[in-house]
Amino acid sequence: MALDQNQVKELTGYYPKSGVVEDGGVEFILISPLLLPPGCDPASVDGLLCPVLRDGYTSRLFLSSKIKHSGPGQNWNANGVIIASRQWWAVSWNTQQENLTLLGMVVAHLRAFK
Amino acid sequence: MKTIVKIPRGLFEQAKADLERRHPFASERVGFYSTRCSKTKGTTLVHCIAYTPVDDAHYLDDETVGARIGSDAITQAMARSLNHSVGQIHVHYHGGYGLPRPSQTDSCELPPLSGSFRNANSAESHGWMILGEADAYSSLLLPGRPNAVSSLPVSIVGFPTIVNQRSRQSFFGNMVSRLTMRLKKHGRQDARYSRQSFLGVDSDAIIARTVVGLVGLGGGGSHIIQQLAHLGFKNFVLCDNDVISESNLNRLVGGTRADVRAKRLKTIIAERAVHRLHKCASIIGRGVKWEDSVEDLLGCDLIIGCVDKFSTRRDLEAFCRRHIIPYLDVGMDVHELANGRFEIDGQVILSMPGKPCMHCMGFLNESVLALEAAKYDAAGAQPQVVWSNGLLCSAAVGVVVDLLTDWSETLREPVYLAFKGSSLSLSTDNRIAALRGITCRHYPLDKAGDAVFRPFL
Repeated sequence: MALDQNQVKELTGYYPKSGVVEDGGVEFILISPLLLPPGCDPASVDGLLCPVLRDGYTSRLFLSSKIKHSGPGQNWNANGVIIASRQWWAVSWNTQQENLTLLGMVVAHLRAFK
Repeated sequence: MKTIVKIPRGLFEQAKADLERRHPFASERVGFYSTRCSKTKGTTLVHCIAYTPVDDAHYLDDETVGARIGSDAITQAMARSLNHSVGQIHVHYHGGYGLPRPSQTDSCELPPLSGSFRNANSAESHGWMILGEADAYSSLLLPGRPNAVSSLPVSIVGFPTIVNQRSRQSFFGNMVSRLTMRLKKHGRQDARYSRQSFLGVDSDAIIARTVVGLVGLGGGGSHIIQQLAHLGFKNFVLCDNDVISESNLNRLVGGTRADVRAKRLKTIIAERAVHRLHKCASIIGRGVKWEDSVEDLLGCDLIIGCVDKFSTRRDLEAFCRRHIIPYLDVGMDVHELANGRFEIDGQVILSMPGKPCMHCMGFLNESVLALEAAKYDAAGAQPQVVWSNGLLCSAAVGVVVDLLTDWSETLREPVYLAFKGSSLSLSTDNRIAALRGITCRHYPLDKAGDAVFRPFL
């Protein structure tokens, strides 16, 4: 599925070093670095956004390492999974909002760590 | 540093067919493989992902060599390398069995061409290759390495899959293999494998040099490793971070009460089973998840998954497709029917690079993955029994042996065998017939190799 160019423009306004990596016919958005909400340790990691349905989640945000945080997303149910030749970690977090833009998805997922 | 060249069989045959054609004046033909790499600290896989013939018009009339191509053909190859971020390998054909040998002209004239490709794009692997009937000589310049590496192991991945693991055997080992082959040809066979000689005259050598990755060593994996070891397989990468428990004893072949008491890793039990048959087996089994064994799995000639989760199957297949490794999936599920009775469903699936994948076959889809994710936290221990595992795993081992030895000369398409426990039936799933000749859209061959990052800006 081709990415909406307006949404890409919005995303690159915040994350200029983002881009696409493909795996299994899905275009993932790689954000490097992804600044995490205050209180997270480490403060930034690489992020991999899956903007389409995956494992029952409307979208998923994978991180390049497990982080320490005091937010509500504490159920790490993707641990070291390999996507696009790298290992990734993710918490169980459903944004429960449809029609989010790419940036909206990232923001909604970061609430898990706030 | 281990380096293996992978050629999907379709591309191998395509190149051979093109290179064997007569040219109006040149005595041989030339083509180019485009390549991508998978790299880890200790392993580099060079994947051939496309073949491009050289146009008739680009040959120069030169009787001193078999074929000489003009600068246009070379410029086009360089443009392909730069525009598509791929390496270029100059290919020609010598034919014959065994490892083809380069002529003096090849050794003099082709290395400078590799150097020119590297000057154009140093991030990719370039070089030259000579195809034989079932093997290939290659000399490659790899990224970050100053000198060319030659006579690399070459795997031809397809139906059948040919494993040319030259580097695995020492000079002495090679000599013993050749002597064994010669003895077999004269009617004296290794007694251990005498009853399986119908698998082919060189089947013992094929089996002995193949590296099998086995993910999951519980009820399924323990059957598989036992059978593979009996057949003569002795190179394994074993992945499972679990230890045996009391509830595994109903089906984990080789597991004992003492193992349960010792909380022994399932990989250790599997290793023990192999070592009872092969003292000198080469086994890498660190008792870790497969995701933490990527370096070792990259060197496998095929990977067998005996895992519980659909998401793990998806991830394993994605890994295998990326690195052009055949993947065999074995699994079963006991579930309760509406009438209160139980049924066992199972599957053996052979997923081959470039061919229909488990998504194409309808075995994996977002619904089953979502359902599994939703159930995951609530799920207790899944029911499992030894006989259905045994039946499915025996069929899987049969597929492995046929893929490597081609003894039946009939395995030419992906496999999807569906099992019904109530009728003890194992039959080809109907969807396979509909997929004949279909190319996988989820994992196209030209996406093989390490993932490529495309920045937006």
